[in-house]
Amino acid sequence: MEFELVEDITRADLAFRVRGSTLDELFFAGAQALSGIMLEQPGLVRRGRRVSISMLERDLDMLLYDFLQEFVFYKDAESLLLVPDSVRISHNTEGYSINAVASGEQIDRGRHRFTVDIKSVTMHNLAVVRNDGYWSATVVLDV
Amino acid sequence: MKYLLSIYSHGPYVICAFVIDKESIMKNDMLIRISDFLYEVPVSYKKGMKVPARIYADEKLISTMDEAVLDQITNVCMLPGIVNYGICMPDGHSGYGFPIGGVAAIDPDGGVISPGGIGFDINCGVRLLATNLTADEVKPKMKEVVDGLFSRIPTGVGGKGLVRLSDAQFDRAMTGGMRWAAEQGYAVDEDLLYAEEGGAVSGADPAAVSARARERGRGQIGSLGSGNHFLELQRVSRDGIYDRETARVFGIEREDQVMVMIHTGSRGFGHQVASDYLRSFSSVMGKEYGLTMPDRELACAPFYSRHGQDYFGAMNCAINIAFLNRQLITHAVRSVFSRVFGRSPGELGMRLVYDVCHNTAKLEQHVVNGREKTLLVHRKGATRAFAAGMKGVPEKYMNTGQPVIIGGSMDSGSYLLAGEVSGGDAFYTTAHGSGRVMSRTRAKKSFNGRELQERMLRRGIYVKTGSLAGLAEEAGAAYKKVDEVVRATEKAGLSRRIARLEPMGNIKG
Repeated sequence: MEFELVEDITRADLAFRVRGSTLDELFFAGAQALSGIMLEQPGLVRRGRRVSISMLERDLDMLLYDFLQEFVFYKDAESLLLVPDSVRISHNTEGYSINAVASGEQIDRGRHRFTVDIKSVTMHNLAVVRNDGYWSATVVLDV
Repeated sequence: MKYLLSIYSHGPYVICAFVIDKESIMKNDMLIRISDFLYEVPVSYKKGMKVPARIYADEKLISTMDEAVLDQITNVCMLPGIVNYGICMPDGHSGYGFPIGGVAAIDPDGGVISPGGIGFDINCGVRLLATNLTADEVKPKMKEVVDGLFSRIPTGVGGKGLVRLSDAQFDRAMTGGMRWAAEQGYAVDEDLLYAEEGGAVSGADPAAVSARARERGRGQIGSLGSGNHFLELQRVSRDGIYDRETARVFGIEREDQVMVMIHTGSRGFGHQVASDYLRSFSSVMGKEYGLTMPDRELACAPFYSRHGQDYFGAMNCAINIAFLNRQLITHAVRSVFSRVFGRSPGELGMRLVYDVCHNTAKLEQHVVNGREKTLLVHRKGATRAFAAGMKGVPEKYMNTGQPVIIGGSMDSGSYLLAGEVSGGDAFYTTAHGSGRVMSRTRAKKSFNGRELQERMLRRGIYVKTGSLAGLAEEAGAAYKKVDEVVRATEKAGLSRRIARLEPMGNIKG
């Protein structure tokens, strides 16, 4: 469940693509990509504090947008670096809902080496699609 | 991949003398050359365009712009209420929604406001401080100054801001900006004269700001951030004063004079304001206002609607927080210089030359079809460049035009320019930087941060950074040549060169 950086969408910012055999995997990979993009060694984030994230959206792509924005928000508001632990997505008549758990720790500037800061997830070219039995998503980040 | 390409213009085909990126917009035969420094894309290019797109650039610069720039600026031309043209500056490059360097003047009566035309980093901007020190005086203490700045000014991700505001203070800062800073002792009264809008734009409405934006921004006020944000010590280049009289008015007395440039914005506060309203606009624009745009990053709402006015009020709060942020950093810079050189900021001549905004939407008066009109001018990665005599220009600069600061890459140079009367077609807007020619991903693969840092040190530029990988993304070769951008800017009549500045020391997040 790794991410791929996409070069031809934006020069100023950063775009990435993730895939998953299920929506759960796709969203998990998307959240994981954020720390993979920001940090030189994302594996160094210790899983101390747990955060639950629950959301409901009519559209899948907006659910992904809101979900990823939560990780950006915690990074700035609480200096909390989060990585996903579990993601569960279900579909009903109202739309798509996500129940996820993420964990992480306060930014430690001695241990966490940042390659880039993410200001926001954007809606530019945002798409969650199913092709050849896989879900994939392309996301542009303002950095 | 690069290759030679023929270029279409009004006249016969000509062969370029330079190589062109495969994906360059020069490939597009809808691009019409109006002059050596201006190109136009007609409304027939794409269904839905209300006005043509105009790109200010020479052949070489436009050849470095990718096809996404054309796609994005022509999308901008579909915004309801857009007047005359969707405009792209010489440093334009692809972003999301608007290109970086994108400008749209919109008739507020019936037209829209779009958070994507401003960007997430609301009032990202740059200011220039003068000193009366020479490069020779600063060089022996360069390491002490740069290290002092790096330890005093929070940089990078997770850097805590210089101040921690209570709820009531935060509200007052949102409306007061630099004025609030002066009340708290972080600014001298003279500073307020030398910032756009006096460092405090009117129309800020803290009630329109979400709890999440407050929560996200509170801890970052008075911090530099990361990415392309920087604080740089510069010297006026040898033979780098082009208009000595105007330079003197701006505070540049001689070559080798040391200046300080600060580039940062509203940090997480502005990012969250933009996120909140982009999200709400995207859900209401169709349902409540019957609007559709080809890119959700161009989500918009009528300016005189509840949503439009709420965003305008919140965005103005973020503009003021960005002014405050740059002011708090200025205060820290003055303090560090004062300690290192053993003289007061006043004795060191540390006056603010000017503070310009890059990412804003402002109500301004412009002449359209011979009549003065109020327009909502969106600028994303572009600088206002008011000419001599225009309302809003400080009294001291009334005969010179507004100072414009174009920050180059950290190993090239920067420019101080002035607004020109010929800039009216671009709603008195000019470039804001060099503009990327290489994506961040490719830059990171192509350059090594440590090698770059060492190479710059050998050239006498001392760089202190929290992220060597981030430094690699900002390598000079990842950007257009600032001299070429500024030349095109001047030739196009958008602003005129006053002085060239070159880096001596730099701190980055």
